Amino acid sequence: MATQFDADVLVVGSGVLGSLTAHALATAGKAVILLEAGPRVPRWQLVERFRNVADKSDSNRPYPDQAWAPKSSGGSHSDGYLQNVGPLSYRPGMLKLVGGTTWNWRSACWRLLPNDLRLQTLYGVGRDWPIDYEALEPWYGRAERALGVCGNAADDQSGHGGGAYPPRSEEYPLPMLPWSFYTRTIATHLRAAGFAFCDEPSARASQPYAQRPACSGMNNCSPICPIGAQYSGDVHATLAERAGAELRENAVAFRLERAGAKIAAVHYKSPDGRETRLSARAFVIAAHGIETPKLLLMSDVANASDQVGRNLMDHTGIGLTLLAREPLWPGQGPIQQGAMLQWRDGEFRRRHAANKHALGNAVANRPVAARLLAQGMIGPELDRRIRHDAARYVQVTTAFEMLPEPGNRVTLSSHKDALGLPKPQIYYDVDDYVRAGAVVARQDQRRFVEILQAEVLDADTGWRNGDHIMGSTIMGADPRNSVVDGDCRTHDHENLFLATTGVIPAGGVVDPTLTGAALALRLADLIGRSV
Amino acid sequence: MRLERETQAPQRARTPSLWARLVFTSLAALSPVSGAARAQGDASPAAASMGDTTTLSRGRYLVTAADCAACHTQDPAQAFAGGVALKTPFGTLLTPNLTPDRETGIGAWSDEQFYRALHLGLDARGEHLYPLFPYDAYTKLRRADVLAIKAYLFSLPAIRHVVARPKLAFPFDQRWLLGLWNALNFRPGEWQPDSTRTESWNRGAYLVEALADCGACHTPRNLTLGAQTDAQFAGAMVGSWRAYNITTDPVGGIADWSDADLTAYLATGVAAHKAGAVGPMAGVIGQSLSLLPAQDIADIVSYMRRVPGIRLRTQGQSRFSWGRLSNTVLDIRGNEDLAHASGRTLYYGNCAACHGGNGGGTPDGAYPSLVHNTVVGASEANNLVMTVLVGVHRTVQGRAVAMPAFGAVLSDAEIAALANYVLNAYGDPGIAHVDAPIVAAWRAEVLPTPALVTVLWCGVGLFFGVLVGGVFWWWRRRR
Repeated sequence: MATQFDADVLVVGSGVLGSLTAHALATAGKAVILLEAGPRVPRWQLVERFRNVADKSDSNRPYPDQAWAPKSSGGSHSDGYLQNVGPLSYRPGMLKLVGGTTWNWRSACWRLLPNDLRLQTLYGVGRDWPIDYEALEPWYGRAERALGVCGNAADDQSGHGGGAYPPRSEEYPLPMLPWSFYTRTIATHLRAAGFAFCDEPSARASQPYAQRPACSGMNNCSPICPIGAQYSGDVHATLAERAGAELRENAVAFRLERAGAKIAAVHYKSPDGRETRLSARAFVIAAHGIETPKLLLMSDVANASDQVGRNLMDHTGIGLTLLAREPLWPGQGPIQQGAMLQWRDGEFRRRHAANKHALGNAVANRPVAARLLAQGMIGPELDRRIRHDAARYVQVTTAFEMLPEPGNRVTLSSHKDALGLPKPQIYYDVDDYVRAGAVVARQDQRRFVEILQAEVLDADTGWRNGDHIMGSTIMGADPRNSVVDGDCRTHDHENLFLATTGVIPAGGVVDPTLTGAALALRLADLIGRSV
Repeated sequence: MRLERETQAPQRARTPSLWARLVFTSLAALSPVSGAARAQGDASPAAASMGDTTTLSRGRYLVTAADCAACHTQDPAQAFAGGVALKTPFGTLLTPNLTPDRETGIGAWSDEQFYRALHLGLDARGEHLYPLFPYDAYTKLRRADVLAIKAYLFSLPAIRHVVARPKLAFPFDQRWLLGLWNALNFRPGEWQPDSTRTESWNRGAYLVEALADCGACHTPRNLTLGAQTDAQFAGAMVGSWRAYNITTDPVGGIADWSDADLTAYLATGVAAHKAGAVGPMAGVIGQSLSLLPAQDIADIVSYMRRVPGIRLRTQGQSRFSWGRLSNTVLDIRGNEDLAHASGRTLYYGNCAACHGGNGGGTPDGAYPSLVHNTVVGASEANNLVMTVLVGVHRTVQGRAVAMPAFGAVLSDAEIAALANYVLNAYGDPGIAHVDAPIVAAWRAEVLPTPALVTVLWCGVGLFFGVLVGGVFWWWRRRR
């Protein structure tokens, strides 16, 4: 007698990766249930909350802050959620609502370089991927189409000043957005000085695309794009529903139930504590790079290697804030448009971390005004200086490649949340590889200061996280030291897959969302063919 | 120069209280500048110290420490001319004129009469004074100090100011009854130093018990309104104000104040991050304690540190330890319940990002203005509602224009509210507004019923109506 299942595939998490997976599988005719810990909130309400919120310094603040599903900061339920016990406080962006954390992102959609996937082989550090760029390439293309990525395919994104790279079998679905005066001016100066400045591909509709209006350059990409020109995960959550998937909001998965070597069911709690069990043929956990290992640890599954939660990586970096001599007028167009990639790949990776210098383009009135007020400036002089400084404010964020360190990890805290579930406990630090990379990066930063004839406002911002959670459910060929295989299938359970950037074993210096999306579409295809 | 004034009736009744004597010191808070402070004029507070030998400056110092002006100066320009109205449950009392005017003041009083008033609570004629005048504290003053006070008062200008005799209701107008009160609550006798204590403690005791009379406000009253001696300084009411427990109890009192806290509070009215004097105490500090030499404050602290701790009420923790930072504005601002948003709010959330907060769109017209807009200004709301429902999708010569569809995001009621707001704000407010059923119908493209069909259905209805009526008539006839 055939076993009855609640669904063919059960997906935990309605962020971009979970929703892409659910949409692909529902489109392929599978019965899909998509669980989301938080509620559904329409964009206009988030826009209004952003406008009305008193504290604009925490971009998480406009998003729902609920006891049963805390976010990473920005509310009384959420601020104490992540329990940091290590030398560095790690508090990456994490939102819990339908659509997930891509409601509030910068939408950079870089591909990895082929060499990023062979780090150990080429440079003797870190880990190799179990798959190569060739295997990933078609899925990158599909992910770019799904997210509506605009970019310049002619750029050499390896930073070596050559031809179009990395290899791609299809054009970007959207042409790159025109650069603002600010980006153009700085790019011109820096290129003249030999820096490999190139456009940053991003999930922004440079033309109307898939029901999304074109970017109008409001410079409000974070905390929220007011018109939805920038991609957010709710797009595919909604598409998944239209394709037949069932989306359950406010459903906090807390246990994966094992039956032999397989996963039999997911148990979730509702905000009132009520528990529900759902069975399925296959399970995809797409619950964010911190919550996914937490769920595996709570369920004691997929962890024969003891690698679940370990190897936590980000692109932790350093910042530089300048006042350029000439007015550059940042704040027109998207909040980030370009980056310098000369330290993206090379033999130096044997010795120190690669880096990417990203040029911020956010309207600077708030930090400028806060700084001047702190100096005691008031009255007409304050107004004059806000105009003066905001026109010259330059922010550079340098992100570093990181290597998997087993000690950087997510574990279960003894502190419990409102549902009685353990809060995530995090130990996080940067190693000498990154510190050596920072020495090189600071040399570049000093040159930026010279080139822009700038006054340095803040040369040492301390370590800054990139909100790029990787490694926490690491991918590898060897079941003894990794959690998932090259298909994102857990080594321990053949019907349990992870759709999270947490699987990335080597993340180069680029934002991991597009890579995660490519992997999610790839695993959805595999499940679709096998279930 | 003789100043003339007459007070017949209360000009302005002051703080009501259980027994007006409780407000004695509080009144200092209400008089803008005390006579004592003015009397001091150019002299610094330190000039009038305990150590001064001249009688006048000693007297001035004592008058400041006892804050006599609080009750006896109504108008700072006429220091100590009395006439301050003190409201009590038994009637209103006017304080007497203390200037050396022989007829209306105390100019005719002998040293002995003056001493008797402070020491025994008797006036010049030997009648009982109301204990609103704190002779139960002043009895502790040394005779030499009492006479120094008198000498100082007598050195001031005589002001002719007739103060009406108090008229209390029976039986409180029977002054002899105060003998009973005295028997219960009053122990005459000068302060006797305690040789087992430090000098500082003894000086503090004299200041606290005899001069400043802290207990007047801080010690609760017994049934007969005398000081409740077993609860000294344990806190009491002063009118509507609470004079706090200033004993050494760790929870109820001030045990966890440092000496520096206490000194700063008494000398300046502020103990940083702990307390700021308000109400009557603000006056006491402003007009009296802040004008005393630093040593006096140190002595008061020394004495108060050693009074017994008393806790009258159940209190979980001291009043200085409660509370924590809580920025609730972050929980309310930007956390509005948007489930029942108005059309205006819906406009700002969904439309204003492109069409502008004022509906004007962008100057280049890329995002159209809703003002002077032929869809918004039309006499039917259809195209406005439909555009909101399905968006705009127009590609002309390769150039795409898109407005997102809001049909999937907003409910029929929300779209109706939004459309009506846009009509009122930017269109013809006179046209028929829409409601949720209309939006639902347009959303579903339910076509309106043509008139012909209506007429046909009416005909059919009429035919069957006549038929049924006829059959009924026939059936009735058969019976």
